[in-house]
Amino acid sequence: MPEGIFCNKQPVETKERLHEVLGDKGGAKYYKEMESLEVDVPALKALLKTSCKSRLKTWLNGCMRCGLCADSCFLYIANDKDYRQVPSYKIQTTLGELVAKNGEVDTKFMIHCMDVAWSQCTCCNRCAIYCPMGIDVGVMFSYLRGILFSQGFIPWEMKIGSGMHRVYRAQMDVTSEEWVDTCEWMAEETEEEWPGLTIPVDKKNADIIYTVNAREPKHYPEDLAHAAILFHLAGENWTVPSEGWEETSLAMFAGDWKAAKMQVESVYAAIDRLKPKRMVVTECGHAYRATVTEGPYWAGIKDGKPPVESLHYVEWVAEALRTGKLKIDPAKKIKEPVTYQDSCNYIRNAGLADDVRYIMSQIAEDFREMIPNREYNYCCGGGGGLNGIGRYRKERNVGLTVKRDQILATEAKLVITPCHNCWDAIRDLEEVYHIGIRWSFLKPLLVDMVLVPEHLKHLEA
Amino acid sequence: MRKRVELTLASILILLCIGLRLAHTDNIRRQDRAAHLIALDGLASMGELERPVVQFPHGMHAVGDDDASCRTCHDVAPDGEGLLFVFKAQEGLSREEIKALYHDQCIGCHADRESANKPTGPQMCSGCHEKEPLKSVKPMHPVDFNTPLHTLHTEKAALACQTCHDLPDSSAPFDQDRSHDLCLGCHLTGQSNDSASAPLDCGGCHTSKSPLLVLDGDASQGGQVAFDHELHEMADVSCEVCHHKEPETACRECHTDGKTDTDVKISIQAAMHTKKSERSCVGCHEEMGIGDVDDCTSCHQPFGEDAS
Amino acid sequence: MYHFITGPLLWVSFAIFFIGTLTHVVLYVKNLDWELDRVSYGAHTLWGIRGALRSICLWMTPYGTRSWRIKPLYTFMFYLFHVGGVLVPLFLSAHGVILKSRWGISLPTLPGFVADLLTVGVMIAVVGLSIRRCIRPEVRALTSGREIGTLIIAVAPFFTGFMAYHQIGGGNFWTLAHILSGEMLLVAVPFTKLSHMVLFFCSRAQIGMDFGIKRGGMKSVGMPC
Repeated sequence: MPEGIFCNKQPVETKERLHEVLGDKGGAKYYKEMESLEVDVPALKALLKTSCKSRLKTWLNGCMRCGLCADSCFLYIANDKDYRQVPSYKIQTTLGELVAKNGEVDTKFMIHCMDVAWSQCTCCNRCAIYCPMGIDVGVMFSYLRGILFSQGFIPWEMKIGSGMHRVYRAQMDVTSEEWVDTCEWMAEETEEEWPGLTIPVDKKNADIIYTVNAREPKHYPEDLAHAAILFHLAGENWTVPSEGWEETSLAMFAGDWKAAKMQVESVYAAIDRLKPKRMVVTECGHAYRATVTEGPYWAGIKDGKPPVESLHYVEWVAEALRTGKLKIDPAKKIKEPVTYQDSCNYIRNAGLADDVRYIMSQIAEDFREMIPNREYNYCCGGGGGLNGIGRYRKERNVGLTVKRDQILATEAKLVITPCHNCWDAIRDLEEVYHIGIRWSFLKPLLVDMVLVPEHLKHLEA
Repeated sequence: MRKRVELTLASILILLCIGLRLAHTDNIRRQDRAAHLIALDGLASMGELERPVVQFPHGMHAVGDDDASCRTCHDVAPDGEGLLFVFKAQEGLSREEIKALYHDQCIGCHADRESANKPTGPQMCSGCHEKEPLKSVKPMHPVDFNTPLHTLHTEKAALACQTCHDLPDSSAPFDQDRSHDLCLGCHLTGQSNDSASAPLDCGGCHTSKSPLLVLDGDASQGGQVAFDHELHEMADVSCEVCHHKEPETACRECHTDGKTDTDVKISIQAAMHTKKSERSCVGCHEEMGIGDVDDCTSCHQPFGEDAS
Repeated sequence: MYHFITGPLLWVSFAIFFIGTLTHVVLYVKNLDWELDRVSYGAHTLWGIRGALRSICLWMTPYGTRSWRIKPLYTFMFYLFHVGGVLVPLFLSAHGVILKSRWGISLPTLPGFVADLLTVGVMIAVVGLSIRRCIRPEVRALTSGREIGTLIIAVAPFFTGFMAYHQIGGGNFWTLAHILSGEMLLVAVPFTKLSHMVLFFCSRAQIGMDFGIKRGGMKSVGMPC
């Protein structure tokens, strides 16, 4: 069975392989090789047999084809109501066919499946709440991604992403040393302004273990500083682990369930090691989904809950504001119209809509809801890994129009996006469509807004 | 295969129905049931009916069949004499209970008879609840309770006047309920089980022709003659003997009364009494040696016995 | 004919229907897998039951979910179809007569004109839903022979029943056709998409548990559907 040098069924498991694949700029050779990557039909059949059980079969067979899911999909709306973007159509012509043919499919079909699975579904799960039969196409596409991964039919960036997790236990090439260095560096930088501020690494029995998205240490280290300031101001007894600090999971986007398991287990191991009371996850939606919502299942935890109570950053902020650990300076509240992007992964799929509304009520004077919102909000347009895949940039940009129009309708110029994916998508949206908006995580806004307790006030120069 | 199961089943269903339509004939032709219908509309008094009234073909049920006796459907009257002419055991029942009773009894019996391979009736809704009225459910023929029939009751059955003519209430009309009660009650309990002389079926009384044809002629010349047509048919007298012209032509069309119409060749009196022709009553009787032709009262007997 | 199709054939149809649907439910529940589905069915049972009931009830309520509310006309046709489709076969007085005589069970019955209206409703809904299937591109793209066949099998007993009730062109023929199509419906349920008669409840209960246990049900009032 011929396999390519770049494109093959083996996941990337070493630094060398990772560099090799990364060296194929944009995956040009990778995708060329994919065209002749053969399908391992017996393996596919075996996988279907063990993993396609009653829930999936019922979803596939029980779809009454009513089409109510059509209007629930932002990609359907963005693509001028093209029937090929109806969720039911998308899954039936891919996974549905695959199951109906019991895996007897060819390379061309698998590439088609890949294109649909990563460019026509962001696994936002919005269709699931519009389906009378309770069919969740997002979950099915996630399952299909797993099948495609096992056969090597995944976008180049996904192959690299899952490889990163396997090699670095992080979505980017950030080693433990680099992470700890960054923490120390940020602590030093911030300490000047905030005496007594530390970023405690590997502190046992802390109240909070704080875990992040590798992009933060790699590209936005000041985010870590902001987190430290806010914990400091709130008087939290917190720590970060030297290992198991990465919450995100490109492996989840890639359908690499093995790597996803490795990744969350590294976090759970840190929890076991440091015995914190609770975990707080940075402002990232899919990280929360991967480590708090789905992770326990990958790790085989029967009650489906992470080892300790885990909060998304917005939950912690809402709690800190409610309990008075953090107080907002009324004079510094956001005066201009501001809107907020509900992240699918922790709003629709984790029920945190109320916490966010509370935060907005505390920090903004003119909060404008997008319509629809909360559980019904549309995906930012870049979820499920779509932001990061060059092959589907055009499709992603078309999808962004729905969010663009939603934001425009609020007439707000500031969009609060406590989710890395949403943040990226809205940044790209501004780059592509120039609608004159700004976007921000919560942390930088809060740092400027919170009242500093008397005893923590920094010395004036 | 699995992909097509819905459409396959739907096609089979449509084909089945088309086949059924082509092959289907209602077993019982409507006109066969048209006679002797009773509308089972008792529930109408208890609220609007949901289904068309059942037009019950009583005649088809009271055929004296092995086990379908009157008692199958009718209870004995409380005084032990005769039957109640309503469907049995519905006294004091609610609308729903009566409905259930009819359904149980009718459909149950029809089903039992079908299993026993006996002639049976419908079991499907529309078999009994027919929407289109077949025709008036009133008997087509009123009972012609004429003089000879009256004689039959007074003389042969030897009924006392009061049996029918209740003195204090003699003006009460013989409406449907009263006459059914009276006549059928008596016919049922009467000594004679001969249904010819004491009919129990509708057509026995509600007949188009009276069993006795009254040849009433001119009363001043003698009493009416109660002519038993059936008896003459049985006696192997061929039709043409009497009906020597067209069968529809009445005797009096040619044989007029000799007294008022002196031009007539053969008067009615002659046509009936001449011994010269075997077409006349007397001639034929003489020829065949039946009855005493010289005794006027053997035919003209106002209150006489019947011809037998 | 009548004897056979309301006797042995009816028993066979009911047997297939009950055994088939029961098998669907049993297999569905048996093959749920907390690890593959990533829902801890066993660990938070009460939350699961709460989520399942909530989901089933909200979706069974006309206009009870946002999905129903944003498509008012479709929802109207949907309920016209399903309310009549469920109530009429169960509570038609003529069916009650048979049920009483065969099994001695007496169910409450619908007044004739109500059943008649519901039946007409079912037929109108089927026509409406079929038109929608033809004219809406997003639904047309999803429609295959399976959906059309399902609609035909589902509406046949109502159409033939209506014709038999009103005795339009041979009441006895339509009654026989009605019984046959009803039996076809019963037999078809386990083998066709009509199995959603039971799988709807299974599937909704499952996603309800998913929402109730895993996706925020334990942290908020619960998914609004």
